[in-house]
Amino acid sequence: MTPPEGGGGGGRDTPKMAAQHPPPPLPSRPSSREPQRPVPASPRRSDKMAPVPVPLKDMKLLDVKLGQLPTWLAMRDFTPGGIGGALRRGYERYYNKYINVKKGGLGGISMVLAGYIVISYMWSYSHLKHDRRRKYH
Amino acid sequence: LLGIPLILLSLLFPALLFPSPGNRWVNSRLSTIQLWLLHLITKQLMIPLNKNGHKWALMLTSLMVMLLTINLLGLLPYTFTPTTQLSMNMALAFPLWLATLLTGLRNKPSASLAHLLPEGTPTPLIPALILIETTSLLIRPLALGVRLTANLTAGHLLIQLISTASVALAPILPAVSILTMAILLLLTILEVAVAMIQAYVFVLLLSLYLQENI
Repeated sequence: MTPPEGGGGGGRDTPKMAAQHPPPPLPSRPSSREPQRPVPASPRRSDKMAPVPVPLKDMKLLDVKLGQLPTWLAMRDFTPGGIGGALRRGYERYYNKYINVKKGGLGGISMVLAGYIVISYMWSYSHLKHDRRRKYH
Repeated sequence: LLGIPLILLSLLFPALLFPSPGNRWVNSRLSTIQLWLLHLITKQLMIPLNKNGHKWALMLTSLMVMLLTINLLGLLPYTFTPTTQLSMNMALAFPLWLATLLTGLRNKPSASLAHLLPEGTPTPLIPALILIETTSLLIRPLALGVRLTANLTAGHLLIQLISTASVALAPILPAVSILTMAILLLLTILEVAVAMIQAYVFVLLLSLYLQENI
């Protein structure tokens, strides 16, 4: 007898397994798609499969091999629309992760302000470096 | 950096801090706080104004929020405060004051001219008082701009001087340095208050000039 499933692996079960075991009760913890205990092999697409072939220019940066990096960089979209799209995507990623949440905290906006301070320092560095050894400021 | 002045970044950056609230029942905390603040400001500004004055709501509210943000951001280290530049404050004050004046002169000319003479003045004093009131009217844009500039510049200057003094004194007389740092703490609190108050005063006076004229 295979041990019963914990949590909500129900959607991925084959019909035979669903008939053998009663459907699991309402999960007491957040359901995850992966089963909590090893189950007999069933044809599901887990992370053991070979990566799906994707054209080079659409691959994410973390999937690009080191040797392909210059080619990947050359094939990116550097038109104004492309750069605008990249900025928009980066902004949305940050915004949706840190700010647009129900209980966002002080950290989301503090990171933006800290970045602003750093960029202001870098922007005015050529002016500030003269203050280092000056006797009277 | 690259020949672009820092004022460009410091003018564009506040736009990043105010995301437009999405289409939800309950927004993020940041959006909720900003909407509450905006509601408070708009209510306070629009209560004394009549129906025509409500057309100025967007202008005055956005001015208030912009000045508030720019002043407060200028208190962070290494940032640039655009409102310390007299040119920018005059560019804000002069056209807005002129707009209130011209609105009054255009829509209610006799009433806006009548503001030059307060009620119940004794008759011999009338010519002198009209001259005085005209001068005070014409000096308003100058006063608006210079007030904002001077307050912010003076505050920044005091902070710079006192912090330099306390850093220079620290190896010599640590006790005096600690005293100076206490002064610096109080000054910083004052600066935060001044930053907010100055924005408020600017917009308040503008709305006052508007009430008389609209």
